[in-house]
Amino acid sequence: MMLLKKQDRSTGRFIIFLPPDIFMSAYIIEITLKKNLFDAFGNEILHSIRELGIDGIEKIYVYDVYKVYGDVDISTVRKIGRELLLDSVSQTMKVYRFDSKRKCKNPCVEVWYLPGVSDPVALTAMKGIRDLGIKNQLNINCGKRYEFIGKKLNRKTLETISTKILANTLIHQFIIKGI
Amino acid sequence: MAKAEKIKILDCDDNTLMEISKNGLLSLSIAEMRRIQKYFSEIGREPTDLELEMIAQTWSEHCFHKTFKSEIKYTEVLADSIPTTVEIPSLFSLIKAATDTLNKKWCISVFRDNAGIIEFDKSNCICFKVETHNHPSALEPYGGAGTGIGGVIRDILGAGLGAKPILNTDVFCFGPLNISHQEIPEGVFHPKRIFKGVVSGVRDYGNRMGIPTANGAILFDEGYLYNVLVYCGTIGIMPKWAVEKKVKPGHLIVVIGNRTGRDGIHGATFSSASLEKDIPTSVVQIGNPIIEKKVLDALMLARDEKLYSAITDCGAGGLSSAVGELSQDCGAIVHLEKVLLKYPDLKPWEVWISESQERMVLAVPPRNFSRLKEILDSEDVEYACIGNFTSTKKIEIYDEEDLVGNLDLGWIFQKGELPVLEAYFEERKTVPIMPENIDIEEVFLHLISDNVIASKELVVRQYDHEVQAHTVIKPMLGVEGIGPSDAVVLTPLYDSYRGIVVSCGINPWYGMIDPYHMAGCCIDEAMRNIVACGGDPERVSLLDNFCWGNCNDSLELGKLTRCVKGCRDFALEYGAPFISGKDSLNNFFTEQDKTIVSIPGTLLISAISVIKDVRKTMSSDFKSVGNLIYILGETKNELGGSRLFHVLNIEGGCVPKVKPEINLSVMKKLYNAINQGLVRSCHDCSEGGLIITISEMMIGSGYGAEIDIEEIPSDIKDPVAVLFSESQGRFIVEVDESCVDRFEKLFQNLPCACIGRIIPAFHLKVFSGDNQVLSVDGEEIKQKWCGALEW
Repeated sequence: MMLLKKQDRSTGRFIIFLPPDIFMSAYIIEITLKKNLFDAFGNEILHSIRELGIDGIEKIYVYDVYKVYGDVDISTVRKIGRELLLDSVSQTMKVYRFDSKRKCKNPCVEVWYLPGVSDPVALTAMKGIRDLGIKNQLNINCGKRYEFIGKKLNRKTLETISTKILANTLIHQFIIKGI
Repeated sequence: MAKAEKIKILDCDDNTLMEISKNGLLSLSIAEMRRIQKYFSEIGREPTDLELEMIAQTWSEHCFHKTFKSEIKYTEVLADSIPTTVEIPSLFSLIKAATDTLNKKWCISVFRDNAGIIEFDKSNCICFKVETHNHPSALEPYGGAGTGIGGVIRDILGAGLGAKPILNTDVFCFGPLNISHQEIPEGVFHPKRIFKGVVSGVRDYGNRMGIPTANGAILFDEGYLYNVLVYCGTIGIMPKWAVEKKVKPGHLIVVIGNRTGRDGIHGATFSSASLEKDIPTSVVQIGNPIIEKKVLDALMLARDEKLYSAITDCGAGGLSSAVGELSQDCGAIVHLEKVLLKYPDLKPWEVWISESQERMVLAVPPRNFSRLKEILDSEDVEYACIGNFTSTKKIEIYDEEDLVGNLDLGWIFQKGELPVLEAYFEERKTVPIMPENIDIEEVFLHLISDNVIASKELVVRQYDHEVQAHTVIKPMLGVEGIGPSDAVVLTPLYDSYRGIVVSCGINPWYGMIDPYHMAGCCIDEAMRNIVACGGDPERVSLLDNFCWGNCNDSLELGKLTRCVKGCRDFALEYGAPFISGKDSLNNFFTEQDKTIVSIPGTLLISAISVIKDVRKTMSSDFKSVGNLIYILGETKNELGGSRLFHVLNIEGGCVPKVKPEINLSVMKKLYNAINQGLVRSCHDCSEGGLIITISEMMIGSGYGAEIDIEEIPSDIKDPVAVLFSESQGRFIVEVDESCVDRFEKLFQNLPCACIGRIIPAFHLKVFSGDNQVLSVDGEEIKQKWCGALEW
């Protein structure tokens, strides 16, 4: 894998850049609230969608999604998820290999930062990964997935929901799945 | 790093110069482009892209405040008066004149540092700054508001040698939340989305930094549909020895905190332009409070060890502005390749003007650098020494071996020939027609649930206002913790009862009728809020923040000029100096058909008072059944710009006019009364009038009130006008019967009257002599007031 490496003269430190489109291995960590708990955030999104005049959605599941890529295996990714990102009391986690064509059972919208936009959560996660003692050359992107339960939604409606509520296209890209 | 480029301007005509300015998003005028062309002609070379960018940032409206520094030819046409035209040296000179004339000894550092600095006690100073982050918040509400509060916190870290932030304030102006999505033009977010994003952004940044957010206001008006206003303030405390900063040649230039990326590029020049549909992504900044918190902790340690001699924050204009300002009186050599980057391939000019957040620039004596590095490493703060200060009066910028910028600092910071601006104000008198047979109860219930008046608990509770354990009078109070507070009171030191009282005043609706009197009302309101909580009216310092529309229009500039005149006049009358301020102009939206929609001219006055003993402060909730209810101040037929006229859709009318002499006398006496223990609760009368004030005092306590409006000092008899007038300088005060004689004696010869009594039933009863004019159950009032604002 090609790594871009540059030394900073004043501090002597190396800066390593991992181009996000170069995947040695890429995994998704998907974290969501346990189903028996009240999801305030999901309900707020649902409320906002109804204010847009879009009815028929019964529930929205909100997932924090983390794309971990680079020199990494699934057990390390599980460790990152379990020990750094997951609150095991209130949340559940799934880890799987990244596949851009992965099927979704229900209509979904994924929202990610556009390339080049600062991702503070990812930056903090990287710090946490180093603190866990994981020295692998890897990188992480943070996003959200919204899964819509209820009436079958078409692409246009999901685009409206995405641009009006879920994403700001100035800094985000959104991907519609499951339709 | 990519290479710098030469930009050919020496042989360009005016059209080409303007093309270069427009295509490069430089927002430079033709006069400025010609000045640049002349400078480079004289030194015999073409500028680099970095030099042009640096000049554009330095001369931008955001950094250079051209409108406030320009001479103004101001024509004023008041009703029943002869038109007058005067030449005003600059708007800034008007504001500063008030402070200079008052010459208060507690003003330690005003209008010259990143924040206004006042004396707190023998050993410490307090600094206060309020900023705006309007354009970024309109584009990306969460990120824009978050970086707004992050930026003003860094102003406090960069005031003197750095202060510890102890309080955040926030004031927001949004479009109406209930407007339909169909009415929102393309490229504009719905106000609800902006509201949620802005509140969340301020909440997350402030809470994660561990700084309480405990004072502010939220307004709603259609005028803010296109351009939200986000005012963010921070107060800090610092030792007196840390007030002065001094850069010396040979000191190292050390950048600490976040890495540099393309975030916020052209943010400063962008603020010189209007909002349009298509905006480049790069102007958006994303905040990282965790990094800023680490920077804060490291800086406080380094400051106390006196490891650096000067500091400033990287705000608008980035390193260009920060290093430029610090080296203004000496000079600097900078090596851009040493700047820590988020990703490679940034061009030198991008590194130089990037507005990546959470960065501070320090001047460090070389002998202290190793100890500073130890502290920064221990706090996990990244840093880079990017050059040193010199005595050349030049800024020389290198990229590796290439000299990519070499500018004369005297020239770049010199006030160029600013054009004389034309400003025109004409007073328009309108006689409003009040509808007959107004149902007072219906209007009252409508008003109490008006979003401007209704409880902001939904927002306030999202902020941590207890962290650091300094907060004495909190934003929500009373038996259930749902009553509103007029101001916030803090004890910045754990071993002293000495405190500060912080408040604000804002009312753009008065300004739509007369900006001069809006200034008076805003100052009066901020002062009233201070005094209602026990603050000393003779120890008040003010901050002004002007958000205005298209000031290229002489009518808009006329309103702004009249407002600034009001600020000067009323600050002098109240003896309250301005210690800091900021203007955010060009808050207008250009529609597709090129129509310009400006915001209502909006002035925010923030006020701070130092008090000796926080135990002698006051809250607004009624305390005991049977206590008497007094009104202080005169009630006049002043309904112009009022909430009543808003709900009745009436334009014009008489805007409240403050009477500083009477109002200040009332405030001084009230301060004495509170200090003598004669007052049990106190609340100021503002939007919605005295009936709203009394209702809020009831909600805070769970008790009811019975009042007779015939007892109110007033020359009007119409109960509607009496109840809903927004005359300034008024307070509702609760007094125990045992204190009545002493209280009334104190207010002899001032407008003061007992108008009723606190009753055990949670019910509001209003009489006019023997006639009952209003009777409403307290629970209904509470439900309307508490439940109006929805997330």
